[in-house]
Amino acid sequence: MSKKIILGILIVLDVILGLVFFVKIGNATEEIAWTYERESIGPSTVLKYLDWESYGDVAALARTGRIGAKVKDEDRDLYLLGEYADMLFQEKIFTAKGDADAAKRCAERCADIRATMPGYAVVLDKMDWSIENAIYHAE
Amino acid sequence: MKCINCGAEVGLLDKTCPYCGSVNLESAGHRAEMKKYQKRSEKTKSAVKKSIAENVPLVVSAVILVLLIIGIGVAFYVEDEAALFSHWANRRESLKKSEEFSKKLIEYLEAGDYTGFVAYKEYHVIPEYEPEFQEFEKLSNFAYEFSQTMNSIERAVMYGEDAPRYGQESNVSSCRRNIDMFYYEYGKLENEPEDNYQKYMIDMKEQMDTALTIYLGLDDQEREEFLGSSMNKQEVYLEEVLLGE
Repeated sequence: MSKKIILGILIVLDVILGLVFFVKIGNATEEIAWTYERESIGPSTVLKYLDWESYGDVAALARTGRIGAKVKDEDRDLYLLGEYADMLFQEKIFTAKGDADAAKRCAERCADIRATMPGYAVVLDKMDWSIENAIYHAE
Repeated sequence: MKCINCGAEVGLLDKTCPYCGSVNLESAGHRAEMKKYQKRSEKTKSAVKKSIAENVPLVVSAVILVLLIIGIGVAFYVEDEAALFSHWANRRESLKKSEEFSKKLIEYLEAGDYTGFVAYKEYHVIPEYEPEFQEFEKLSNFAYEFSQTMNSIERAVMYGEDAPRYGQESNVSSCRRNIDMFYYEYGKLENEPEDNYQKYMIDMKEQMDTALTIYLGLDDQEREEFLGSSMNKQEVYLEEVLLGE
């Protein structure tokens, strides 16, 4: 095989592997930038639980959003819905326990979320109903 | 070589002896050969240069190919182990910012937000076994049990009207297991010496008692009876309250 042919084959291989390399580097960089939040909870999981009306799951999954985890802008609403459910659940406990300050903090946060997400009023109402329903059945 | 007249050392190409000045006859032959060798050497050098010039692109391409193969291998490895790299990077960061993170953890404790405490600790991969965070070690383990149990109660009670039934049933089981485990862990802590964080553990227990009262209909006496009853009885009770069975 002449040197020219070998050189041609090497150049073609270099180009192909170069493309593969840049794609892989891009993927690896993206993977490394994943936070615990994105790694453990995909927005698709939150959406699935919202679809199932399993608001306790939504609350528990989105908790890292509440403590300041970085969340993509397009996923922020999902995490706020989870935070609303979580705050609602905790507010009832703090109220019944007599911890007025903590209950007030939770109630205010719920009111804030409700005010910033008028488009999700139906879902938020369903969350309210689920809590009231649970308390009613426990009485 | 030596001068044939005085015997002193003379160079191969010296025309005369530098000591006695006599003519160096032998050097004439060497000088003639030297020119021949120089010509041959030049020829060889140019042949080598030509050969190198011809092979440079080939060698460079081969080196690039090897480097790319190594690079792709490294990229695959990094992609596969990304979670681990991320975990260790977060852990290093939390040790570096131990003062700031400890302050934040105490803020969560003071606010009675123990699920937030656990979430913050997990998100920042805070290693409670390292000296920087060791003060939180015992509390962290208990707070983790608390958080798990609260999560399972939250999952078991917060359902919409149209929620599928199979999800609720599995949540009832995990709820029962976690409640059992939480009170078992609390029982163990009662026998341990008091520390600065005991008050938070007591508060967690009070929050749990309240959650059981409002969401599962168990007052103090009923809770004791529930915890003392068999696994089957506990499940039957929870199914009755949570699923209306």
